[in-house]
Amino acid sequence: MNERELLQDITRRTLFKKVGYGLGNVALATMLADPVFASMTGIQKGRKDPMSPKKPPLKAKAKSIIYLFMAGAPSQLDLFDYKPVLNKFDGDFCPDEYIKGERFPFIRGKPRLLGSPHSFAQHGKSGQWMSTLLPHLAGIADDISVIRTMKTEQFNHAPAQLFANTGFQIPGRPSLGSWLTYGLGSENADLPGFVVLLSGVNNPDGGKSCYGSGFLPSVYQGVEFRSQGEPVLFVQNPEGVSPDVRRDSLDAIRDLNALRSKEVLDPEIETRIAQYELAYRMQTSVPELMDISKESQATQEMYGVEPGKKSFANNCLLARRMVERGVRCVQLYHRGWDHHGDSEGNDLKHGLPEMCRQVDKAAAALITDLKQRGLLDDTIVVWGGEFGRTPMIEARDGVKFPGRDHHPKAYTMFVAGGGFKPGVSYGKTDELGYNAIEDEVAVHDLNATLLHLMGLEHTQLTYKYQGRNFRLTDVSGEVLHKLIA
Amino acid sequence: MRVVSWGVGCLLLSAGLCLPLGAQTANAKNWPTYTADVAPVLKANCLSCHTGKDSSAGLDLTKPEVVKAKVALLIQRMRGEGGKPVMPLGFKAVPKEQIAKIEQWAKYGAPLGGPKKTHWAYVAPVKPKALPFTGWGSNPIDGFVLERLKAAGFTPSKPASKETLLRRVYLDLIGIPPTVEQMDAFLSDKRPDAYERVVDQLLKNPHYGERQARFWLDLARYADSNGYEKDLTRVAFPYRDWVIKAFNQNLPFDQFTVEQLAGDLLPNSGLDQKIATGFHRNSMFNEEGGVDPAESQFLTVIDRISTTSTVWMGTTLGCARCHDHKFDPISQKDFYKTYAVFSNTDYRREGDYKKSFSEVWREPTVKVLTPEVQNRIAELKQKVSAKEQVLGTAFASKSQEFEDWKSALANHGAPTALMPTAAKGLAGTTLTIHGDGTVEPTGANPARDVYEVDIPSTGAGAIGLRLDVFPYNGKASGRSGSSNFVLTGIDVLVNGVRQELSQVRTDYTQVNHDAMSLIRPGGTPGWAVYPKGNEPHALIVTLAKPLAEGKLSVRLRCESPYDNHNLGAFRLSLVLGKYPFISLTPPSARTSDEAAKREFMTSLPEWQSLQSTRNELSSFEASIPSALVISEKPGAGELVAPVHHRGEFTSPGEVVNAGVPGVFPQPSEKVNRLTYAKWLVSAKNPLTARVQVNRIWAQYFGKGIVQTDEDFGTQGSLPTHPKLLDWLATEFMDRKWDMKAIHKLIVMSSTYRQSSATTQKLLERDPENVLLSRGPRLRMDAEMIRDNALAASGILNPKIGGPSVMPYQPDGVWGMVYSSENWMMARDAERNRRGIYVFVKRTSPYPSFMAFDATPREVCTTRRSRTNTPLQALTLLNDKAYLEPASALGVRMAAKGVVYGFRAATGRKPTSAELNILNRALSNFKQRYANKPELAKDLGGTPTTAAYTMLGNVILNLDETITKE
Repeated sequence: MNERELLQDITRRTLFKKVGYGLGNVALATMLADPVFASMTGIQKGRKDPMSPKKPPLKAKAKSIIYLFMAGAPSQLDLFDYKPVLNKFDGDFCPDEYIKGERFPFIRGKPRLLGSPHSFAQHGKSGQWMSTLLPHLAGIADDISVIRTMKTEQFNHAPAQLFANTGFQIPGRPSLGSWLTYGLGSENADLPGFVVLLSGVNNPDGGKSCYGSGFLPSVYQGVEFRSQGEPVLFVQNPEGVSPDVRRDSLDAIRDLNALRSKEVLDPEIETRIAQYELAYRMQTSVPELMDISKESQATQEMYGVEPGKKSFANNCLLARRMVERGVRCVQLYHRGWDHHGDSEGNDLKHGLPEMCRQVDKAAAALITDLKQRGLLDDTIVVWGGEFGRTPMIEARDGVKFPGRDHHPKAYTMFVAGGGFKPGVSYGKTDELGYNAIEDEVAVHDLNATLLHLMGLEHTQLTYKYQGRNFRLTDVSGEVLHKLIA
Repeated sequence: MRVVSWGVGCLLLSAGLCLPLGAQTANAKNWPTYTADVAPVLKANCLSCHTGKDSSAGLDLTKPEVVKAKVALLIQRMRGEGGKPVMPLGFKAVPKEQIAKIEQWAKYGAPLGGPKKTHWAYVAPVKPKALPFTGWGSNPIDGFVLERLKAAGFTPSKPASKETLLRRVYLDLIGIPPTVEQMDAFLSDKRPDAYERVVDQLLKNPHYGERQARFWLDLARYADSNGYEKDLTRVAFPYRDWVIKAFNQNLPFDQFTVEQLAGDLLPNSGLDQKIATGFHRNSMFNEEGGVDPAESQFLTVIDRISTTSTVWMGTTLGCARCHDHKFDPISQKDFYKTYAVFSNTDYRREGDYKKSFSEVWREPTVKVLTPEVQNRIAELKQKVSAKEQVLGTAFASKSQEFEDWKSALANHGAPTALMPTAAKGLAGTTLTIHGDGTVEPTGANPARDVYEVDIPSTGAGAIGLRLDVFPYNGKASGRSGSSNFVLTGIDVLVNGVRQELSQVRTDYTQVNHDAMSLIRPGGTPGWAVYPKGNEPHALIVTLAKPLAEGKLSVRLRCESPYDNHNLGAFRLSLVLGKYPFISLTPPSARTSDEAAKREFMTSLPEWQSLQSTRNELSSFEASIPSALVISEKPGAGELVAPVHHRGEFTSPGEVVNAGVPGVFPQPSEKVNRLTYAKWLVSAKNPLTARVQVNRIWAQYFGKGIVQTDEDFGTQGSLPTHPKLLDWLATEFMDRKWDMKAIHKLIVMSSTYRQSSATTQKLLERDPENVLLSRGPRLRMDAEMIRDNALAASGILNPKIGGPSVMPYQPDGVWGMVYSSENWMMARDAERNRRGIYVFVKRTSPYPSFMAFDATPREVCTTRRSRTNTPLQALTLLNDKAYLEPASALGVRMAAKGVVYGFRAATGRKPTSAELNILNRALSNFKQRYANKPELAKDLGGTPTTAAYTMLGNVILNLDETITKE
């Protein structure tokens, strides 16, 4: 629902009763500034906080991003990048010309090629290749565009995740969501503009720096919404503090702050008064947002939610609820794709299908749901990990479970919505899936494109720190115009 | 790996877009200009033919823009490259060095014009003449401030009230507010120098060091964990404590500098100087599997260089890693000259990257053996030897008993196992009973479990129980990842009645653990066996009274802080006879009389006493931390480093010698870490003193005289009060880098003592208070908000130093990838230590601090932002860490009144309007809790105490409470 529809909806339901006068445009504008009204919509005009919405300098195709980060690095060769030649030479030594001078985290000596144990087929009108592990995503093959030639510069988890999220391999730079909220603010005053949802076996290897604000003001850091305990840290009143007690205390704080404000005239006090009211509204808006039981049975089933659990499906549904409410960037992390084959469970035959089971249905449901609600047009969905996996079996310590080492040279991600062309197969890798041979996409290129669709020119979105202008894409990045509708 | 950084792209662009704005400096030798280095050469060699309309080849070299456009061609022709004759044709060739200069000029964008004025910050400060500060002002600071105020048509604000001033100066100097009593004493002190007396006291207060360290630790990127994926805990606090001590002792800043950067190289380097080098051990460290140690080292040195130049010179040397600095006169060679200075430090390798999957490089540590620690060790050792003598005497008098014991030893057989009829793990472990009495745990291995074993009949008369733990079915004695367990308790029940335990002994106990903790509190809890978890172990516990006949139940508790440290397979048996521990006697005692004697003695009470002192000694020794230090690699010759092409660690190129950037006055000695550090704090260095006084100034006023306190280069902001900055910098050096002297100067100034209240007019004309027409009014930093709340409520634990602490943090905030480390909430008063002691975990920093703009300490940070957000409100309203002080403040108010509480938090008495609001809130709370007493109980008290807690909560949430006015 866009802002205007939302306004009309709320107006119809409540405001006529409440205010009892007709609504011209002027009245509307007045009401948008009215805190009572704002508390119902979460959308306020005339905000002056660092998160207040800013007009993008370019024409924006998208308003929000949902980034499904597959931490641990899924195997592109078993999911998207179909390589019959690799299957054919399964078990042979990898030709020297590929690996000469290469460093691998775990492979030592002369590695052998590993074909995929999973079968592939083409799907949709676009004929997108996908393996049988992703039946639901296969069903929406024409809605997504698959980039098979992603390339990164890091081959260890923590630095590569930081690189993907912040454009730099060392902790301390702002992440994509921080740049977006710094550049664009966020529509909903009652919710953080940049939300992080975690699921999977672990948190991202790069820790909270993956969604930190670096040298940008900390107001732009990603706020974790948690599956267990309080959804947002400290959003709930402590035990023994009822809503009426809280309201009494907030009234006293406000009145005392107002008296001081008159005395010393520091504008910071007025801001603080406003922030306390916002905090109070968040105490209602956050639990309301997190309550997925309000969704229809059909929707819950489509995602495969598991209420009360730390689940990727729940997080996908929450992500939709968030962008619906105007949250600028929702970053999901689902850790557990690191299938080295160093043990039986952690391999391509057992571990990978299990991860796909956790992710495939919900990710497809998210895109379908956004589309059905008309939200996909201005919401970008990104899916992918920090790097890919080698065409060779890792065979660490001689272990023979099918698994692959880290591979930064060519891996797969997919994008959907928000101005991306649908159903595109982008980029080509060689016969073994080792290197990109056509349309290589660097991490900075993808990030530049995401910013572009959000209405931001990546070379202009800068922040000066320690004598230098920094940006998400560091010193490179080309917008992928071929992928833009 | 390709390392990029801003500006790599720049070199690829055309020169015209790459003008080094203001890059020219006094050092014209390095930074050629058109008028000085290009035009004269052209005039001497070219203009006779290439002038005006009739220029040869149409090339008019009198026109600077033509020279600029054709410079590549000119150089080519002067050198005679490209198969063309050398120009000037038929004349003497242009000297090589002159051509090189033109080439360099071209490389930096071929700027037209003459040598520009040297950037102000690269010229050493000269003390400006003090300005009069009569009429208003207390010291020369005020003269410089007044000059600018007057010029802008402003007048200073009135002085702050005594209440505001005292609170301000307490918070600024020691970071803790004055108590109500200290406030009253100051208010009633009418002596003219009352304020100065307070200032002098505060500068001597040991909390001064903590407050100053808060800023320095941000610069030093101090943290208690390594960062990156594993983010394991490191013992870094000896360095943090060194910083606090150094500030308290007022170590002059030059010495403070040299010790941190090169304390190990000082001629009389002692323990303190070595610990000081921990400054650069604060770099992050990636231990993720598969990380190339060479790359990791390279990144570490780069972090050290960047941090050093930011902290001491306000210069971003980091840009020059990949290419010459785009704006400042720092070349890539300069960067690697510095690299050579910092890269010759010692380390050892663990593992081999080429063969296995992990190789880490470890830098040295030093045991923190302070004189106090050494004394304590000597004292304990003396005690041990005295007790050994007592034991010897006791033994001598027991020869008959020794004979008895030996025969008992010869005759005792294997213990008879008890046959349990039921066994279960209360938290979910499956326990299977085997035919020989072995109980085997399988299935889930919960974080903590209690094994409960039932035995139908005891057989009366046993004096103890023996527990055997052993590898079984291919599994180790302990179920943790390290094959360990931690047994924290044994309950022995007969017919449901708990039996009192008397003594405990084991065959082996892990260092730093004490099995005695099973029967009496104290010591590190629990019996553990690391690293011997793959061997069988036994423990015997004796009972205060022999067992009576009945149904026996035994509970084995593994409830330590360490997750999953549960027992493996075990067996229980009864202990009979006069010598309960005889079955633990090693076999050697049967064959050697010496060994027998040693073992027999363990049954004597004197041995127990000796043993407890020995334990005390060993746990004290184990508690001595090791500081992370830097030391120079021995025996290295000339310090050199390769310039790395585009900053990539895999592309070493031309080798350069250790040195300092060419733009600065050069040191007279050969450059190593020590001489580099000394050079930083030499009077010749134009930056260091300015950079440091500027940061000190920012502590008080919220921003520096140069607002970009990390960048004094051409892209940084200009000083708002240049004379003041230079006066302070020169004064600092004149006073031999005395930091307390500078702090005192600032807090004694009238500028500092102004009221921070403002007017509409001032807000419009100078919203940021750049001109300093009023005092600073700033939201406190994260740590101070905490300290202030704890102090106001009277529960601040003032202990200084020691390991970092973990105060309350909600469950689940630490979600580590590869680590079983947990946030272990500090017990008792430890959780109310000052904010500076809160554990800094880089991948998961303390949430309430992050809400208030603290940094995760990944890299050097010179200034924090100061935001105002709803998450801050939620933190102060609802975080338990702030509810506890609210409750304590409530208790104070219940006893001493509401006014007292308000004063403790804000420093001033409430107005009657404010008091009305507070009283009204209190009576509302009382009413609400009286109506719902169960709600009050949830808050931990009666309706009255709950109401006061909420009033405390209100006061701790006030803008004024968290603001330094």
